[in-house]
Amino acid sequence: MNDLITILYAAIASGTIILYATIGEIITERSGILNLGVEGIMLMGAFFGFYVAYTTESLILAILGAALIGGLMGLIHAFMTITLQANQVVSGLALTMFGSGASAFFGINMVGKTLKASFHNIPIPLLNKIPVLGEIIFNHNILVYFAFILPVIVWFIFNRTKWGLALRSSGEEPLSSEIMGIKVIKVRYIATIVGGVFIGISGAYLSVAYSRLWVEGMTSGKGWITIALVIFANWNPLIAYGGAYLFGGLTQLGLNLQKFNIAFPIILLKSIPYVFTILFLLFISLKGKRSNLPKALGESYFRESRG
Amino acid sequence: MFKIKLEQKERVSKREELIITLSAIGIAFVLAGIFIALNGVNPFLALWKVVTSSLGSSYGISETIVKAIPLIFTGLAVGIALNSKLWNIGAEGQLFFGATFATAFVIYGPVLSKPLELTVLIILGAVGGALWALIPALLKIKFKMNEVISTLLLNYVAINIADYFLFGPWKGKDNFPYTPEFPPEAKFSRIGFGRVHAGLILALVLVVLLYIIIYHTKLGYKLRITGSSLRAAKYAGININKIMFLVFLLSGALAGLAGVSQVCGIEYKLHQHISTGYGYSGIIVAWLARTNPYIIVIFAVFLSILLKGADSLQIAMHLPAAVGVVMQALILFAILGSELFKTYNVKLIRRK
Repeated sequence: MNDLITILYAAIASGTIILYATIGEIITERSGILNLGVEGIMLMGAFFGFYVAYTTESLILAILGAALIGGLMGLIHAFMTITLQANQVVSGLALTMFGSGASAFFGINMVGKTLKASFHNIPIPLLNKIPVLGEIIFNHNILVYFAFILPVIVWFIFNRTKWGLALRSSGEEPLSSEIMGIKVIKVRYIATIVGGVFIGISGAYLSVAYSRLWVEGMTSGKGWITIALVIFANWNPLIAYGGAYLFGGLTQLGLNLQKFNIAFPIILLKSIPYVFTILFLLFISLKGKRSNLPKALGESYFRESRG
Repeated sequence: MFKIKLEQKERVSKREELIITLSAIGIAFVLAGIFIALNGVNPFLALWKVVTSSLGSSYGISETIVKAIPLIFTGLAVGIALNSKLWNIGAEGQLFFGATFATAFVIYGPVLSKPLELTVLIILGAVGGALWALIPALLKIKFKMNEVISTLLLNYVAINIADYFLFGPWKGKDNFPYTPEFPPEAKFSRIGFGRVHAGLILALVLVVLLYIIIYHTKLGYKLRITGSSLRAAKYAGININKIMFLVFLLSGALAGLAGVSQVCGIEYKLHQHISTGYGYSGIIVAWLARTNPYIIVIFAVFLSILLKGADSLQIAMHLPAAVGVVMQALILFAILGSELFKTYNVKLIRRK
């Protein structure tokens, strides 16, 4: 029982890394821009967040810094794909390469450093007294709690506000949207930058709050897992909870296989997240069509030169 | 505020296209220079170092060619897939799987005569790479799974499998993660120029072969039609799934050969660093070369100059090893961004 509580607790803590990034990517993709640079943005956020936390010892500045660098990375992708109308797949790959290279380049002096400041767990009064659930859910740090409400906020903006409508229609029917008075280019720029902000924060959560260290390439594919989870979540921020925590849970379960006396070479456990991700994708592919796939996702939008 | 106005160009001359590409590379170097300067190193000295270390001596040239060999293989691997509009981001994993496959024979199999041994290893490497590409191929064809994600994720798994052997059954006597050195029968011969080995000949033969296949055979015609338009391919009665399947296997096999070429040609053993991202650099090579095998060779050499140069920057100027990746990414960005200028006249207009 205690093992299970530990695993589920860890599922939420590790699922949070991917949850932030998944929400960010959903925002971007809903506007019609496919950003395959998640891995690179996460790494930049992880490096820069760690760097700021190390030099200023301020956690708030660390998160803001990671958000800023994430937004900048998003801006690069937006400029490449929207203004210069570059192929979105190639630009995303270039962004991943750039992020992993630049974070390793500048982060070389941060390897092996330890942080003084740390995110403390804040038990939520009363709720943390609920047996089992209280321990699993209501004794985390502030970033985990914010991740609890973020998908709800984003869902509300998507479905209940004018902004959300503009965002979704830009991803579905950019031409008609333009005629209806929506500034598609502006919407897509904002969505790609805001998406980058949350992906950057996910990186900082990883390096500053979760593992509390910076290692070159430390996201080890989490950015790509994110892109798969967006599909799994059917571009719906609320289902993203399920995707991220289920994924975190299965991964933790796999990593703890020995506890259940299942013989499996320890080193191969590292493959579990990637294999699960592919199984997730297989599962949804068997389930049928993804209804929320933005129709114009990945296509350049030519506004041409009008007036 | 400025506004960008685009006018479709009627036609672009080769000369104009070349000027745009070269300017883009120039911009990439300026950006890379800024990165280098931020690290307290004179960027002009660094650029000079890149050029002289990779092209300034016969040793430098031979080492540059050594690095170009795996890039030609991976460039061809990604290129043949791209030619049919398939993204194989998994060349890195296929390279490792191919190398692991071939190494398994060296470790467990009998030692054959050199020509026979090398033939077996080359075939096994290609089969290994193809097998690893078979997974995303089936996922794509049977379940419509996006190959960008599946091939990429499988890279981590393939490298993990190699690690399993390196840290387990194949571990060196001193407990370090590398296999014993290959017997002489399993080593590619050198061709008399530094460490340049017979893998180069294999790579160049494949370049010519693929060029002939793509541009002068019925199969190549089908591949190109599938790449230009799925609908057109359907009307032409081409079995698209069959083509995709074939292309994936071929692509994986080529990447697997990069792995064999590394373990048999240069490293003489399997370890974790037989590839320094050659599978990923292959994506850049293939994309820049627009899948033409001959041009793939040119860009493979271009990138290997950068990689060799980056190595020297690391040693002589103490820049982080990642400088090579940063330079590659900047070049990709710059050329990607320059595409627009080839098809449109771009004008900045002042908004009233």
